[in-house]
Amino acid sequence: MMIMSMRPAFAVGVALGAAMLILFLGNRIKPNLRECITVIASVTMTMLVFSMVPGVLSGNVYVSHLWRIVDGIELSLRTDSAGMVFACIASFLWIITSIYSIGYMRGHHEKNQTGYFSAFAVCLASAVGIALAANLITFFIFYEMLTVATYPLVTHHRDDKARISGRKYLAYTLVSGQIFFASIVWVYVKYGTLDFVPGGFIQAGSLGSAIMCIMFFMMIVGGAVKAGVMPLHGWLPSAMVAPTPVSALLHAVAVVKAGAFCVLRVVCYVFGPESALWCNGAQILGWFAIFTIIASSLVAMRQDNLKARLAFSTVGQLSYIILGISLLSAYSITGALFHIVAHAFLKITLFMCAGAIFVTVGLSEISAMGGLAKKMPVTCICFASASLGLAGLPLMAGFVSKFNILEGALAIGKPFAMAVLIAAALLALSYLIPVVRIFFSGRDIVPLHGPSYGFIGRDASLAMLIPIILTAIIAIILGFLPDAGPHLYQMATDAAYEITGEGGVYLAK
Amino acid sequence: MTEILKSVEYFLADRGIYMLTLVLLAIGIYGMIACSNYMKKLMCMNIMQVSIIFFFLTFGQKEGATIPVLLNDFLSADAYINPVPHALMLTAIVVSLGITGVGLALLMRIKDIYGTIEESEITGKGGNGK
Amino acid sequence: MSLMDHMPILVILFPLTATLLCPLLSHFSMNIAKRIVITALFISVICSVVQLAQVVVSGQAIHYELGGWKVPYGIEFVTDGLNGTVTLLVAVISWTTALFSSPFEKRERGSNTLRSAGYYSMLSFLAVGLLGMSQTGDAFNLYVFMEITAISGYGLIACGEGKGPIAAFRYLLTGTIGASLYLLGVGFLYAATGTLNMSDLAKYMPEVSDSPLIIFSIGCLIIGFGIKMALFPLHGWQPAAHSYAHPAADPMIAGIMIKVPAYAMLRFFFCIFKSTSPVMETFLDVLGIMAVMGVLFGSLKALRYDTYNKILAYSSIGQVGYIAMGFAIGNMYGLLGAVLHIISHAFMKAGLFYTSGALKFRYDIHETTQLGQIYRQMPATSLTMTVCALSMIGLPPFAGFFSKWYLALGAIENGQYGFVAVLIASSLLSAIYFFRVLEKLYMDKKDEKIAENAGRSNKKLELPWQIIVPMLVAVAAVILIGLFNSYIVGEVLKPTMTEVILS
Repeated sequence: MMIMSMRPAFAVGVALGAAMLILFLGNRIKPNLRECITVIASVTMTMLVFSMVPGVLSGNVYVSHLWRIVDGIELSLRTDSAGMVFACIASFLWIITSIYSIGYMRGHHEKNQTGYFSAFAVCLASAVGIALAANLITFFIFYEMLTVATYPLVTHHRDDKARISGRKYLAYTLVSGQIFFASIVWVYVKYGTLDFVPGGFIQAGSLGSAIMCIMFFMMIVGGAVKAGVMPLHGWLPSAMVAPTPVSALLHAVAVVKAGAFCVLRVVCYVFGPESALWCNGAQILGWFAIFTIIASSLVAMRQDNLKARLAFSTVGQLSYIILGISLLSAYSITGALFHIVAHAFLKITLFMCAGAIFVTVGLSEISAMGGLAKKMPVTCICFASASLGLAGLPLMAGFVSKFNILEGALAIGKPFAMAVLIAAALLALSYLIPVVRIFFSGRDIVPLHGPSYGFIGRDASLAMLIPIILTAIIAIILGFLPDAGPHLYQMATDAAYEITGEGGVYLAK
Repeated sequence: MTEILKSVEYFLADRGIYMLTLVLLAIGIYGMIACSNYMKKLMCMNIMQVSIIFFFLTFGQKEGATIPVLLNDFLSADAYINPVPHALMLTAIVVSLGITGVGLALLMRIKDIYGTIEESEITGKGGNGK
Repeated sequence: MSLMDHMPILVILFPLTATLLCPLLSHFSMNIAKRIVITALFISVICSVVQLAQVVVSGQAIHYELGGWKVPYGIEFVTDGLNGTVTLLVAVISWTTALFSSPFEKRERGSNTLRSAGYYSMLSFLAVGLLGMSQTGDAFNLYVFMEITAISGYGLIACGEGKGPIAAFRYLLTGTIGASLYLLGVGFLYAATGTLNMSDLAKYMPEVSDSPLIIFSIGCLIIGFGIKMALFPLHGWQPAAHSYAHPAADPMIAGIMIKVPAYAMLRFFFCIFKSTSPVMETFLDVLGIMAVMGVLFGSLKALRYDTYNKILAYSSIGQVGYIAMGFAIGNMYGLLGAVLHIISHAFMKAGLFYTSGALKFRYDIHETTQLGQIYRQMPATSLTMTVCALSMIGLPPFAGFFSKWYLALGAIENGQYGFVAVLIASSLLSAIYFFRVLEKLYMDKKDEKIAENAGRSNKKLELPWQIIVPMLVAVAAVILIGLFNSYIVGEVLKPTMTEVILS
């Protein structure tokens, strides 16, 4: 049932309003008050999003038609199951990252905090906008807003390194965004609609196969760059110069997930399984994903910088989602959607741990972290459990999603994809477990106590520690009970069956 | 000799007069590009404007017609020259006068600032003028 | 006839009166003279709003016969949705620019009030010319207004520091060629049809469309308007003129002085020639090539400069190419894109030149290399710069994106995929040069000279309010035109387009 409601619009509007408030009042009010705005906005947004969950689960769709944005197309937001999964994650994790950011930014005495929190709010507004967008033009507007709003975060330190990585980030995302733009116009001219439809609105055979394949990849490239599919991943590791909460945002909450979500929308809601397979786009995309999973794991093993290693792990994990989507069976799409959730919680834990380590003891190289567990036991335990979860250990969140993708590969008879998935899980173990081993090794750690590093007692400061523990616990709970809380697993399954139909399997003819 | 004159006259009366105005236009534009002295450029600009005024006047001309002034009694409309192009050109002359005035004022400023109105000397002084 | 019926002429009459009164009153008080001009331009904003509302509500064009002389003997002002919008645009930017000039004038006044009076007089005369150009329905009258625009423009450019007079003189020469060729084109048209009224011309055009006179005429008009709107390769005068013009008048010169001829070109090509002349297609192809070259040339050339005004000037060449590209596409969406780009680019470019003027006003900054960290001292300026630059690149939700959307839509509908590629390439190029400016603004080290001055001023506002208001108007316009473009397009432009232009 369709319910006209302004709630989706308010959810986005709250964050945008908060961004404006912070930007204009930021330097005139006390920092505590400024952070209050962020926290209040994030909680409000989360409540708004979560309040729609029961309705969505019972089959309702909340729709906000805002106004006509271009001739013939409305700016509208709607809450379908797939979008809700992403919106729930993004809004909930905003609370956590903003609390963590407050701890990190103060602990680290970062400059330009007003601009930082403001851009952060815009990022989250666009992420939820992306999740709830009802048509491609709305989607694209939020997508480009995300691109621009992330730029000041990536270049937060304003030094030469930040400048170069900012340029790289823009080069990748703007070029792909423009290609995406051209393809949206193309689709609109050819098919006269841009509304997302589960199962797609492009009929197989309505264009030549090669032309449609070009169209497919012109659209995919927009998402693939943000999702870091190799060989378009170049910006992601270099964006590591940003402060750690930004990395957490980039990797876990908004940016790369927006890319993966873009791929989902394009493949499943614009082209639809049938056309995507008919033009061979899905198969080629699958091969890119497989290549990325393997290659990124191999690269990750050789990184000594903790954040860089996590960055390449993100590249690989995101390709799981892409692979799940490109397999186009109900199981694999469920798995892909749920991996957005699982990876979000796991990777944010890992990044927040890395940030906590950096702020507390000033270390960023893995090789120097021997014996860290003595100094920061809670952080290290959280890191270890998240690592295991990411590798897909049973009863952890990562397992649920990966097993679903495996099942999907099995259902359509792709043993090679299965082999890759299993191999990749082992590879993930091989680059994360050594880190954990170093943490718990018997060596004595040598913290870098600069005057700028607030060294507080034994472990990281509470503002950072509480979010870490929280996300780690949620990640474990999601492993036992994937359907706990707002029934994200149920929504992922609903979305998958909406896309594929009752049968749940599409075979390439 | 008279035959040649006659054919010239015929040519001019038919299309040739337009060719001549176009030649004048071309001379004007060429001069504006080729001369390096700003004053000469301004004069060539005037030549160009005059050519267009000529053009309007020539196509407003009609053989055997009289001035469009009502003297004693109204002849048929064919008997008068079309007054509109002339009226237009009065305006155009005023406009071109205005522009020439502004141009001269600018030249005086340039002369004040740079002490010369030769393009080569001015651009030599202040970079490539871009 | 009530006062409401006289809106088309009132729009022009107030600034014209102010032009004449300003030097007179300056003998008594420069402040009063200045305020007269600003008020007159504000009234003309109101008049143009009223007039546009009349057009939109009644759904038909206002025909206003000057002095009661019947068409086609007399001159006629025609206001429909299309030029009503352009008039409003011109009026708003003229008014904000007049406001913006106020602090500059105050600083430069000295003992010689005549100079200030002359400046304001010319500014309002420029507004008269541009408003007239967009209102008139008579081809020769357009020439007169075009020259009014040009003469006052020469004056304002010559007011600029440095090479201002030379830039003005060169523009005078080139501009006169343009205007003369336009006049020649009108002459050909008159010779072929015997009328100067635009709707009359359109009526007689089918009978004479094969005549070589029409072909000559179109050729002359392309060159004439091309020079006036700085279309590549006829842009030679533009970079110097836009860079060295008086910083206070620059927003108007760069923002709308090259847009109104573009609008006039649209009128001529699509009201008069398009449906009738067999050679029009060929000429549109030529225009398309010029547009593509202009877009690429402007964007590439802008990469080479560090001088803020130079970057903006060359980017204008590229952006004018967008408009011409819309003409070359020639279908509904292409033209909508072109007109929307006339509007949105006017605000973006005016906004950017406001920031340029503001930087010159406060710190005498000309180069982008001096911009480092200036946003701490001048937040409103930086905000304007950021929003307008993002809009120039064509990022949503700002106005620039949506004009690009319509252009791309039109191009793909026509199967002209090359234009889409050029659009993309040029937005990426402009992303390079604008992000370079923004990068310098937000990330460079503070300029030493400015850091010294920074502590000194302890005023509440970063700049006088007369400078801040125009910038905020530009920002608001860029955002609102972006978000609500479909209403401008759907309610105002599209009905006119279907009725008048593509009928």
